[in-house]
Amino acid sequence: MADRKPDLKPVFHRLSDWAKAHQAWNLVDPRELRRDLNDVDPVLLSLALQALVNFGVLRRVYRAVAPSGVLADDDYDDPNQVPEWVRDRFNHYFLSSEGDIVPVFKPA
Amino acid sequence: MLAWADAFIHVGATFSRMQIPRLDDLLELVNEFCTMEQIKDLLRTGQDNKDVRLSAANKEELIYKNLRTALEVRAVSLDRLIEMVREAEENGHQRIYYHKVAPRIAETMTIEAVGPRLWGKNWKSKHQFPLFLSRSTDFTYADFRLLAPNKKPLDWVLKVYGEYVYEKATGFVEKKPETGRILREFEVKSKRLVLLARWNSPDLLEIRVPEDSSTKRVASWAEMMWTMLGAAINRTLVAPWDLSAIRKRMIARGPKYKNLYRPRDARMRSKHSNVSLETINPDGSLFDSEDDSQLVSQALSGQSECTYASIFWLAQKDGLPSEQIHTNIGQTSPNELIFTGQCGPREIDYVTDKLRFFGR
Repeated sequence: MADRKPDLKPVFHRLSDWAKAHQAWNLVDPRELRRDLNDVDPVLLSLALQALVNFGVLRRVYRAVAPSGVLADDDYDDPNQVPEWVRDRFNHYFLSSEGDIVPVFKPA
Repeated sequence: MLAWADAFIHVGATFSRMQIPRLDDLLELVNEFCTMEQIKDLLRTGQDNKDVRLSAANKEELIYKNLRTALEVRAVSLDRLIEMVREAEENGHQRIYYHKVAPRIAETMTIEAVGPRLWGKNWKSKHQFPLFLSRSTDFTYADFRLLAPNKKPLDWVLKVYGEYVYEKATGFVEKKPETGRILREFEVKSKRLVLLARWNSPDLLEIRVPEDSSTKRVASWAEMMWTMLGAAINRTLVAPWDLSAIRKRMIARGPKYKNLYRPRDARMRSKHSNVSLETINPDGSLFDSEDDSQLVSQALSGQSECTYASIFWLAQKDGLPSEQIHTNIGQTSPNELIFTGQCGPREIDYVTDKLRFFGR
């Protein structure tokens, strides 16, 4: 991948290190990635994630963010599929239109 | 092409007393209750037939194209289809309210004793169970049967059908600038409600109702199930099974039983404050780091209670459960367990048995 996108090589390496340090994660939350890799240009980070999607390594899905800031449980292929009411981690329902819908990345 | 009524002739004895189901009704129920994985498992039973296809762009295509074709060419048995729907509508996406029954009362909880209390002496001839496709705005008894006659001969399930009518936004919005009004279009829809009472010998009565965004609605369905149980069980003689101590014990013992379950979110309450803990990693555990473990231990110390726990029961090598099961323990009531996803009857019993284990 680094050969096909040499400009993103350093970012791929950082992503690889991050994945090794987060083996219990079954998804990549770009918000966490930005927090952990705060010295990496966010534009390059986005481009690298998009490249991994294009290479078929990751797939993009969407999740609602609960009022407490953590990700709610269900995945959606399209942000328009997110229902009006979404359940938070404590089984309370919140209006998805009042919170954020964020892309997350899962193994393809 | 096979006529649908013709196909029904091949249904076995189990469902022979039901009214003839319309294929469209059945497929609608499949869409309502079954997961794609369950439907694919069913299709696999007829995979020898060249007309049976597993791949589909979405659930609708899988049901209304692949499954319909498989049924029409008789590659998939109607018995199995009905069994799949029955199992799906009775298990998962539910709240279960557990009640402890004293041994003296438990003795009177056999199917032979409960049936006559509900419907009189000749109830077997009066009621043509199962009423699989009953559609009614009233609540209707749909089934009363032994669950596993060979394994647990005393266990039974009583099923009630109802209908839930709701409004769903179509997405059509009309703005009327001249009046300053916005018109949003809603469609009136209905879905089958499945309420269950399950006698889990030797001492547990489970009231199972569908999970819903409205806790009031859920509570009203549980009340309805009690009403339907009416004469069979004197509610004042059974006590809610308080899971509070079990919840706290399970969170505290998380590290010890890390191969059995993963506690992900919890809410604790001390004399002065509430503490809520949620892992940032949705697939994480409250005990993923030393810092988190200490935080949980501190929050659980002293007289504090655990008022809510989100537990993932991990897949086991023996296949039970075959994949992780997510449960929430105690959102609105101390005897309440929520299954957030679809699962089978064995998985629900597995979780109940584990709660019994942690209750000892």
